[in-house]
Amino acid sequence: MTRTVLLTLQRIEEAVASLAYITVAALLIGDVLGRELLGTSLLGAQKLAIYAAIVASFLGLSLATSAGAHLRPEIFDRLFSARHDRLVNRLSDLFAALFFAGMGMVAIHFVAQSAEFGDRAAIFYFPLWPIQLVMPYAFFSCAFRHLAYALHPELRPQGAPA
Amino acid sequence: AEELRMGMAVPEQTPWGVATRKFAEDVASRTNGELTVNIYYNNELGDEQTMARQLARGRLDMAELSNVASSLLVPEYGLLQAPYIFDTSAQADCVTDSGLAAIFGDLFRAAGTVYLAPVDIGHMTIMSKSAILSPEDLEDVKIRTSPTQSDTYFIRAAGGAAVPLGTVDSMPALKTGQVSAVTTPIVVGVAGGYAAAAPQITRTNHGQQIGALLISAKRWVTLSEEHRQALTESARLMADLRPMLRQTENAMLDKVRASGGTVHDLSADELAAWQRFAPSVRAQLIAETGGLAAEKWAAIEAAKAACEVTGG
Amino acid sequence: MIWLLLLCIAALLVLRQSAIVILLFGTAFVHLVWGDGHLEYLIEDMWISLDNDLMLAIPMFLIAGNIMTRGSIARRLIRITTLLTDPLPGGLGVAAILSCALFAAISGSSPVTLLAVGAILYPALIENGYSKRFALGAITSGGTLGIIIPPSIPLIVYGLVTEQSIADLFVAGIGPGILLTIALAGYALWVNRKRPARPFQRAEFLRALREGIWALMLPVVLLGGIYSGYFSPTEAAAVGLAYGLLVEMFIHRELTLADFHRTIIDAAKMLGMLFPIIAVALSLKSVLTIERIPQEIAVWVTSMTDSPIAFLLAVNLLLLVVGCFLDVVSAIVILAPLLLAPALAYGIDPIHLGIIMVVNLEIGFLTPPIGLNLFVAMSVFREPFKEICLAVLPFILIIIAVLMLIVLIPQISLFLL
Ligand code: NA
Ligand code: NA
Repeated sequence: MTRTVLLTLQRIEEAVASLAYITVAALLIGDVLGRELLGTSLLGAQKLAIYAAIVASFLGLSLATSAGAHLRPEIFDRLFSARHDRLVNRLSDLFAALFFAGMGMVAIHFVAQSAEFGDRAAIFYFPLWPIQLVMPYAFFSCAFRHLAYALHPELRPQGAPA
Repeated sequence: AEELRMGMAVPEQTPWGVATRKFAEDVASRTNGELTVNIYYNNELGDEQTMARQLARGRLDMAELSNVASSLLVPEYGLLQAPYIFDTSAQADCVTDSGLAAIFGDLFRAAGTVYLAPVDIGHMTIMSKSAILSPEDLEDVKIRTSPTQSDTYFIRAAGGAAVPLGTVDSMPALKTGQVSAVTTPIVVGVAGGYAAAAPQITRTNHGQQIGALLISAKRWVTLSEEHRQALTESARLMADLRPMLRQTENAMLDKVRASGGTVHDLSADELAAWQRFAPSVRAQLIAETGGLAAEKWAAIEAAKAACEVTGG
Repeated sequence: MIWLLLLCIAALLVLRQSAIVILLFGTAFVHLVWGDGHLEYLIEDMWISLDNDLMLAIPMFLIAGNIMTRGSIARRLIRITTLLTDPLPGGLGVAAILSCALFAAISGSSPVTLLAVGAILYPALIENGYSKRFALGAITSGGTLGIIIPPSIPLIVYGLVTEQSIADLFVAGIGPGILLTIALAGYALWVNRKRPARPFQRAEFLRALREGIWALMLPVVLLGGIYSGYFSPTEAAAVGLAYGLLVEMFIHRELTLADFHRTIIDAAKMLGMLFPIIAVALSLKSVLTIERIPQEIAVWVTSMTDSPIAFLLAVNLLLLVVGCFLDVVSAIVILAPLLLAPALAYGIDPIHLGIIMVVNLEIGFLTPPIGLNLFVAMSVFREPFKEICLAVLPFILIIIAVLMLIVLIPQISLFLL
């Protein structure tokens, strides 16, 4: 069950990230073609591309977590004997889950402020907070994954750092 | 002593840097050193977009922002960049000094900031590789515009192939030939070294760049009545920027002439050829800015009329 | 307070937390204790660091590099260089360096270059009787050309934090890149001078050229496009991506849509690991700037010596040491703003400083204990860490010698500007 949820989540995040980067490339190339061939630039194409890339980057943060790809200093790994590994790893995941959940809360606070103060995109003046929601989302997604690994250590990505 | 952290985009040695330092000194002397304005030049505290947002949030106490950045807080403020908004420079000065705070103060307040003073940045000109005197010369020319609706729509309406770019990208774009002309305020353009690649300067004066000296509303409410008074009084000094700026503009233009460039001052007829695109661009701007744009535009027109009556 | 911070970091290490968690935690601590006490500023800084044109170029170059490694562009380029160097004694060794240089002209990263060239040429070198040590050293250190020959992700990051023109930085990387390529290739030639040369196979070479023409055109399109003004470096990244994709999918027909999707996901993950590091460093930079630390460092440094050369030599020493421990992106984000202020005071060109930093940190890819190319080589060639360290040693000495030329003769970097 948890495995299915995690996998579905990962597929969705991958699809959105992929789409976002394709959008980035399309906007940038469209701008070049428009300028060099049609003699007209898209005002703000680069700005829109940036927002798409931000979405992809934050999803990348949680995808890297699901792949166990984040770098991890291993200097104190031998502090506990191998038979405690499982327990330490579960504690590690539990802590990471709490930490990312905390970051998620702070991110919600930030987005709420952004909505309150009406932070706007340059050129287009549309409000930024809907895009910024990807930040709390990514942190909570990381938190959820670590929590799942703490509860079901067998789901942990192979050789994964916490 | 209380300290106000203030950010701005340009270096200390520019007219804006000098005027702002005088403002800070004046604040210190008025408050006997109880209130100090600590200035960070050159985007040290982040780019203008960042400063604008941090100001509203209270992370930054004060900032001196260009029109582009101010209009992130108050989109309607961007109307001031509309092409040929003022009929004469005397009218422009009069409205700037007497009218803008009244027209836009409430909107800036709603955006979490207090409007202390307008900041003149100068008129838009065209700098190009080969002379661009009339809109016809602009045909099919790839020209950098500032990434705003006003400048970009105007150049497009006049027939140019507008390439909106930030200030940082403008020089490389000129150097590589990505564009062969730029629109820019004179001081920014010449100090930025554009003249080396684009030595033909046409004083189209097609846009007025009016920035703003702002303080975070969150910080403002913590200040004593005397300190607010001092800030407001000292902020009037920013009007001294105008003669300084014009002097610097002339010095810059002389510098360009001395190094082999050409400065084209347009005759009334030549100017009229550019001005004929203004009404449609204005209408487009008002429509796309939305919000209170139409209302604020009417207020600007009223202030212009009032200035004519008082002979300002 | 600093002890409390160190204690917390130690606890996080014991708890096996990832570098991201430790970095975010440390920065949050700094904001709370030495900054203005608002945690949401950290989130804001993450947003600001990504809300930047230049951050678009990095994923685009990453995806483009991955596509070309997954498809056959890399293989075709290598085929051309190996046939070209056949008539030289030790030609395959020279081909290894040249292939790295050629691939570097389309890839922005050092490990990607190492992987693309190493996967094909390492087995070939061994098969043709080259010593394992030479093969390891040549490929592992040749890969570092990836970040000095434009395009280059570290140069983009340098431009990002110091607000210098990326186009200028890219152009400035060309001279030093060529010089390094000549020096490394010269060494390869000299070490293998006793090896027999092979006759030049004209027909074969022409065929390889024909099959590789699309791959060969890529650096021309990328750099030519930037240099002649058709597009900015950021746009070049997207154009390179589209070009690579079209060529691999429709001309070479060696890349499927599924492959493409995977390469994008890989890039997203890599950026997911990379950007928090940049964000955290920029966040710390903002605290340092408010305290005016960079200016104080500039005043302090310039009070030590009047000589720009002495300053630059000290900078090199510092960077070589830092390069042993830090990855290149973190090192640039943290140190570039601190070094820029004194460098400007000495009248050193900021573009020149960027090139010096990147060449220095290029060496950092090859020095233990933390050297990314060493790790990558260790895992793909399945050789012990120590063996690889020894293998790259002569190459490091050559790069240092070239570095000294680059430091002392600014024109090597700036002549095209
Ligand atoms: Na490269
Ligand atoms: Na190293």
